[in-house]
Amino acid sequence: MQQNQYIQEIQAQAAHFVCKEVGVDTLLVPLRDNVADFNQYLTLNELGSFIYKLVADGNNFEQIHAALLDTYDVSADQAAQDLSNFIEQLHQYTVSHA
Amino acid sequence: MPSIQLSIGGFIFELNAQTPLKIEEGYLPFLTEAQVVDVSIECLKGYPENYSKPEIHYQAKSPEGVLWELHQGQQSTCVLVYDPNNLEVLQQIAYWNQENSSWQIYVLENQDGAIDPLAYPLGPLIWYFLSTIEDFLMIHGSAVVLNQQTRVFSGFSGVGKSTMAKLWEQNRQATIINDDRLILRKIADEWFVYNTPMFYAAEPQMGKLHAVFFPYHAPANKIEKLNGVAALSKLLAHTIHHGHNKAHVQHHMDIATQLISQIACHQLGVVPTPEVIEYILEKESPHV
Repeated sequence: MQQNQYIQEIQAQAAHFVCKEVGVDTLLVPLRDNVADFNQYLTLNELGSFIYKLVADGNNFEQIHAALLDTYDVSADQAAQDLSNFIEQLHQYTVSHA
Repeated sequence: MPSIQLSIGGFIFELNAQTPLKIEEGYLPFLTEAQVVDVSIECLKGYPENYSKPEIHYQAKSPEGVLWELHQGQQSTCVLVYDPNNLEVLQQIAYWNQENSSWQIYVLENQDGAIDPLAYPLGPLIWYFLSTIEDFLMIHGSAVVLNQQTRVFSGFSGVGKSTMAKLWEQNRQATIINDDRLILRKIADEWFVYNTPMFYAAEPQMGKLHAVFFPYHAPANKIEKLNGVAALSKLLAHTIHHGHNKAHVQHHMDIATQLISQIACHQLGVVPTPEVIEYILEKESPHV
């Protein structure tokens, strides 16, 4: 599954980012050539932070999808669609900033 | 044995040497004595015994060349600092032992037998490395104290930090803390602002932090309070980082997060006239 490939690539690049939770949001900052670039940060909202944490903890698409259904009042199809979109965007950000 | 103490950001740095010590003019107002030492600095002349250049893990570069570079060892960090007037010349070899908060600085150039262990840029680097383990940030900014309240204006060159500080000084008789590099330090759950030594002699200053502003040029004065990640990202963008060590970056993020949870941060569009002072006093947020 393409999304699990993306998730594995995000997990493989995790060492090149630092993140900080502020309230329910998360600030994700890339380390370029090992130097933090605070002009290229990504802000994750509550849902994004929830998913990112699960990705960083080593979960795959199916596990994250199940966690979304357990935590949020959302249909399985909608959760899959939203998760898929988020993973694509996070993957794009990750590979272009790592 | 020559020995001097400096008080910078409320930390006491003690320099000890076997040879006469020389320090730049900007450090003179920061001299102190008989204080409990926070950071011990042993200053030596010439190369370390059996020295060979270590493997380099990070280089700070300018278009002209390498300003300084470092080797991150298990026991200590070795920093090689080059003469900013001639980057071909190695100026200092410095070893930082994080565990016992001490430095060994080998000074390779000397004048009339005296050594200058803090010759630029090593002095600011020493404060910087301390910021990676203690509860403070070093940021680019100016600060003014008015009625025991210190306002910090932080941003890149050209956004009007110094202009803002002068406006407050000229129109409100506010005290300028610094117009370049500041220390924001947390002590017993309160935040204080300190200046750091410059290339010119400026008296040590400190004040209790009231608010932080990120100014930019605008057609009209405009203020917007920043919260959460917006405040954090702005503050971190103007914090001095070398970022070669992920743990250091994480530490700065932790300290900055504590600061934004206690101190109001604002984005500030500025027309550089005295009216902006009244505007700030009226519109700034007193609360986080």
